[in-house]
Amino acid sequence: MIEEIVRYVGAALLVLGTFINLVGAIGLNRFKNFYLRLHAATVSTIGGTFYPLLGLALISFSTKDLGEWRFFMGGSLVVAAFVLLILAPAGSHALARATHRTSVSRPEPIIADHLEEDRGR
Amino acid sequence: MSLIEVLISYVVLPVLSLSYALYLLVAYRGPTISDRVLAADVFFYSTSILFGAIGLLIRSPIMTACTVVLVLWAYALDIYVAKYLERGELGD
Repeated sequence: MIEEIVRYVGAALLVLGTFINLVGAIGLNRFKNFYLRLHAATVSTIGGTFYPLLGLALISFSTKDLGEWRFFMGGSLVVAAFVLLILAPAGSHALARATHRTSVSRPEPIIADHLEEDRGR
Repeated sequence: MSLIEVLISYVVLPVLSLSYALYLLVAYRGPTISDRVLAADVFFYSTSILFGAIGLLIRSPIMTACTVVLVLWAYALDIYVAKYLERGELGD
C-alpha cells in the first residue's frame, strides 16, 4: 500500500517536473537578454530538475525487484537533488555577478541601475 | 511493461529530448558567452534526470551514481567562467 502511494507520488513529480523543464527551455529561447534568461533557467533548474530527481528517488525506493540496490539508487538521487538545490543558485549568482560587473550583457529595457551608479561608472 | 516504464519511455524521454534541442539552440546562437554558459549549465543539470531515468529503465544502479558528479561539474563550469570573466579573485 505505502509502496504504491510513494510510487505514484514519484511518478507525478517526475512527469510534472519534466514538463516544467520544457517550459523553462521554451522561456530560455523566448526571452530577450541574459538577465531575463536567468529567470527561465532557474525555473528549469529547480522546478524542472530538483523535483524529477526527487520523483526518481521515490520510484527507486519503491521498486522491489532492484533488491538492496534500490537504497543505493534512491540515496544517490536524493543526494544529487539536494546538492543541485544548494549549488545551482550559487552558480547562477556567480555568473550573473560576473556578467554585470564586466558589462558583457546589458540589461535592457532598464529604468535604474543602482549597482552601476554605486560603482561610479 | 509497468506504468513507470511506459511513463519514462513515452513521456519523460521525448519531452526531455525536446528540451535538449531547445537548450542546444540557445547554446549555439546565444549572443554572449554568459548565455551559452547558462544553456550548457541547464543542459548538464537536465542530463542528471536522463541518467536517473535510463538507470531506472535498464535497472542499473551505476548510472544513477554519476548524477552527483554531473551536478558538481556544471557548478564548476559556472564558477570557472565567472572567474574568467572577472579576471581576478572572486569576492573582492
